[in-house]
Amino acid sequence: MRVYQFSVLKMVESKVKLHLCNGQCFIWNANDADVLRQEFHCVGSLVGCLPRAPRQNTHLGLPLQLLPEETTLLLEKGVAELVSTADTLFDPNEKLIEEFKAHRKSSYCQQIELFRAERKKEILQNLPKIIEGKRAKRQKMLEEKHEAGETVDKEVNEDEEEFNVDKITIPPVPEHHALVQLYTESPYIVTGQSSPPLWSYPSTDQERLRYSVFKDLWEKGYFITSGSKFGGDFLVYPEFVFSIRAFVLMGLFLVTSAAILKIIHLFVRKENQNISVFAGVIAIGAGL
Amino acid sequence: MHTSLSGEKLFRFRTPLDKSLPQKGGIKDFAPDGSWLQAKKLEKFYEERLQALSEPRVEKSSDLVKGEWNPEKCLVEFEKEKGKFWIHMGFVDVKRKWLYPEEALFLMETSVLEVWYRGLPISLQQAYTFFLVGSLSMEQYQVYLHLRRIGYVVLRHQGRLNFTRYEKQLGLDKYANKKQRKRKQNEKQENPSDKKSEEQISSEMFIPTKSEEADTAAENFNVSARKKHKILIDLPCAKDHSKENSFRMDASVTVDTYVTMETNGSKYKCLQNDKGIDESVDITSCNGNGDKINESNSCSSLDGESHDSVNTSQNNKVCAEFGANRHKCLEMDDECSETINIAISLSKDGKGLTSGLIDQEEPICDTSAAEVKCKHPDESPKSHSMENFQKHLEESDLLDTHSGKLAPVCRVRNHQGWYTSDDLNEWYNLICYNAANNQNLQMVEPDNSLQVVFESDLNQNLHRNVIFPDIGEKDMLVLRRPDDRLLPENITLSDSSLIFNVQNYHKTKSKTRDSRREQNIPYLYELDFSYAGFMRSKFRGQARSWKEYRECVKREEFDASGSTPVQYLWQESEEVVPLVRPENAVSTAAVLQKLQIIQEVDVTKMCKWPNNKEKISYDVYLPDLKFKKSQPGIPNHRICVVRSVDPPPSISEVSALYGYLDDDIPIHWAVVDNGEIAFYEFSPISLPVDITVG
Repeated sequence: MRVYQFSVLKMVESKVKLHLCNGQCFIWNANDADVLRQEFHCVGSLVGCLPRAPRQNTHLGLPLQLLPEETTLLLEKGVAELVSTADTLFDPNEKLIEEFKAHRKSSYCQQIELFRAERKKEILQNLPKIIEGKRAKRQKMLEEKHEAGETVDKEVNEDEEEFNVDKITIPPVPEHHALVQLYTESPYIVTGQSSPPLWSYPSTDQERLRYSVFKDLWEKGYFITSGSKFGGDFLVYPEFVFSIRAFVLMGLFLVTSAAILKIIHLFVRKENQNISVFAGVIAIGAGL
Repeated sequence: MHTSLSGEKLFRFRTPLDKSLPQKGGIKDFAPDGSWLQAKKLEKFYEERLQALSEPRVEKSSDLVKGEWNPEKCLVEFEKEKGKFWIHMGFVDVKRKWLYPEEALFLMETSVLEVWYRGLPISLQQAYTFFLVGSLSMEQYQVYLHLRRIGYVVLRHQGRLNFTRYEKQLGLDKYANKKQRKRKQNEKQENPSDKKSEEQISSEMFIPTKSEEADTAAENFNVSARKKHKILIDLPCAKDHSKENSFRMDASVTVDTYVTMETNGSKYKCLQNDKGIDESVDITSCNGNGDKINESNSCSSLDGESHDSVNTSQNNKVCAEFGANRHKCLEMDDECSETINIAISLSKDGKGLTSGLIDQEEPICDTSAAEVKCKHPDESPKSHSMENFQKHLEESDLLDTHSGKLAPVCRVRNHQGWYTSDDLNEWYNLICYNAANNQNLQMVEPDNSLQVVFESDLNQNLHRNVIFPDIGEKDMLVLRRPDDRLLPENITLSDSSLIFNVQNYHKTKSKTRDSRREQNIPYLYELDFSYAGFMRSKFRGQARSWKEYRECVKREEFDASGSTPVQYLWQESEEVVPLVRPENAVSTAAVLQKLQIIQEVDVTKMCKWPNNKEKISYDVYLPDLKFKKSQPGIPNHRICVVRSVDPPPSISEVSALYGYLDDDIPIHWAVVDNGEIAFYEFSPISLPVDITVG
């Protein structure tokens, strides 16, 4: 039975979670993405908007979409695990809703406290200026009264000049001004038994070919990304750099007469782009 | 698991954040250095990256739009919008505002919208799982996101623009709003192959206030190819038979009415047609007595079956639309007949009948009609006897010689109303009687001219009268005199003009382009050694059929190409043959044509069976603050989303799609490969041809 829990706990060391959506794998946790890149030289591609600058296409944010080859590899190595996504939107029970509301409320209260504290700090910092300003205002008021003809007690009440910081009222901030978080990753924890989804890549010969090449290169320590933008299958980078100029465009194909044309094509691309072309020709047969 | 930020942490986001973006791509080094500096750079890079990625989306609660997810409809509902996104996203349905799932996801990602479901907000991760179902695939969403991020206005594909070329030319398509377009779409779906519907639609565009009834009436139109002859009867001595007397056959319809006709003091009542009353149009008119002539003309749809002239005009009616919708009939009636107007006026003393043919009005359609001049009785009194008049009628097949009656399928019309044939016959009898008795016929008021319309089934006799003579192996020919009705006005044919000299014709005909060329470039044809053999453009062989001709030509070609020093290259293999031979060098154009092995085709126009199999996903508009959802206008681009594992579209699919949409909007194929998007377009190009002269 599944139990949904709303949690504010910190992250616990565990396997990288891969979420399956529409047949493709996504990583929603930034730490996971970082771990994969630094430790397992697995790059993937970011497909979401970056929270700090959502309206541009150069820097993207989470989720991180993995190549199917990457997924299979990570699963094989035991680094990652597939997480089942609920088939339908869960029906939150009363308890969860209460919890959530409480969380929001407490967050709001905390914010108010902090806000007050900061405001106080601000006032303290600017206290001389404030006093100065108040005095000037008083003066002005007295002068106006004098001109108006009222008898004025010119003696300024010293007491009024005393300033009690604590007396400064801070207007109440309504709850809807509170800052809230829009969750990227789901904050709700799923506990309980649930079977992980099936992952059936590679299934065809072509896919197996790709995977075997990918695995081989990965084990040699290269960074591999998708090469469809350049017409090939993979882009292979040496491990230390990630410069645009230093990649290898890979084209994979089974040995046929049509393969010859493909090789020629790849070499032609090479002329334009100053890269070395590695044409991987692998024979069909058993034991790929 | 992750951290849901506490209030403390959230509070830090009050101050504007560091908006700097991490360095793209990493270190621009080419070789491993092993140096500490490089390692440091790398470390910094990873740090920045992590920081940027792990940043939460924090917004003030009052700044966010609150929406509610509706899983049955797969839409997000919300109440109050904030900001400018409502200009080009979302739609209204039954007073509630809705967002499509991809729009909602985009707004969530840009921290504008917060979607709730039964009391709890949905996280982005959940939204990805639950919104992207059904017709909206991950690839489509990614393309949508990509385009929206850079600012385009992306709407779901709304079908093709059903505008005719003329409307596009005028620029009317920019002003059609959504409702009109939807209506057109529905209509087009009903009559997909009906050409008339397009005309209807186009006429609708220009007459936007047309009522629904008129539309249905239009569909009932089905005019047969019957000839109608009009006889304009001018009972009094009208001064001029100007066009105002000759009625325009606005509605080429036959209508039976109940009207009373006043002629010679007697009133006739007409029959009303009972068959198939579809629509009634009111005609109110008064006769001379001031009585109101009965209205209710009835119309019915034409069945066009009976061709008997014996049948009364009760059959085969066509809808009549008088008054405001007259112009409509003008358009619809494209098969009207020829009309001949015969003015028959009775002279004052009743001595005889003057008859003449008055101006024939132009037929509404393109069938030719003879025009004969009107002969005014006062101008040139050409009195005919009764026999002549009868002859006239006979010739125009209006008079049935056997029975001595006018052709029964006819109607009489004047500005007051319509009358049936029976009345006409009575009138005709009256005329005959009066003429016979030489009695004075009573005059009716000048504006009381009658227009008699006869329907007979001449069945295009006039066209059959045109005969093309056989000029083979003849020197002179005498042609048959054509029908007078086919000639233009003021033409009289003399006998000499009927003689056709065939020899002269042949002589003048031979001045063709080839001969002109021969005149221009005589030297080419006189060069015996260089060109003589194959420059002959005329075929000098003898052939009795096309097959023989082709064989002859082949033989000639073979003979001509026989002796070349490189002949051995293609004599053995049958696959490799020369592309251009010397004898093809007639002109530069001929050579170029031979060289053009890749034929130029315009992909966008070549398809014969347009369809919409390749589904277009989005219509893209350029970013514009003046954009209106109700009147989006013409999209600037169309996007079709495919995956990289899908096969590319074949030429037939591409051209079918272009043909179906039938406008000049470019279609882009967005190929999505695991998060990487590339756009491709099939656009027609023409290879340059350097040489154009010669």
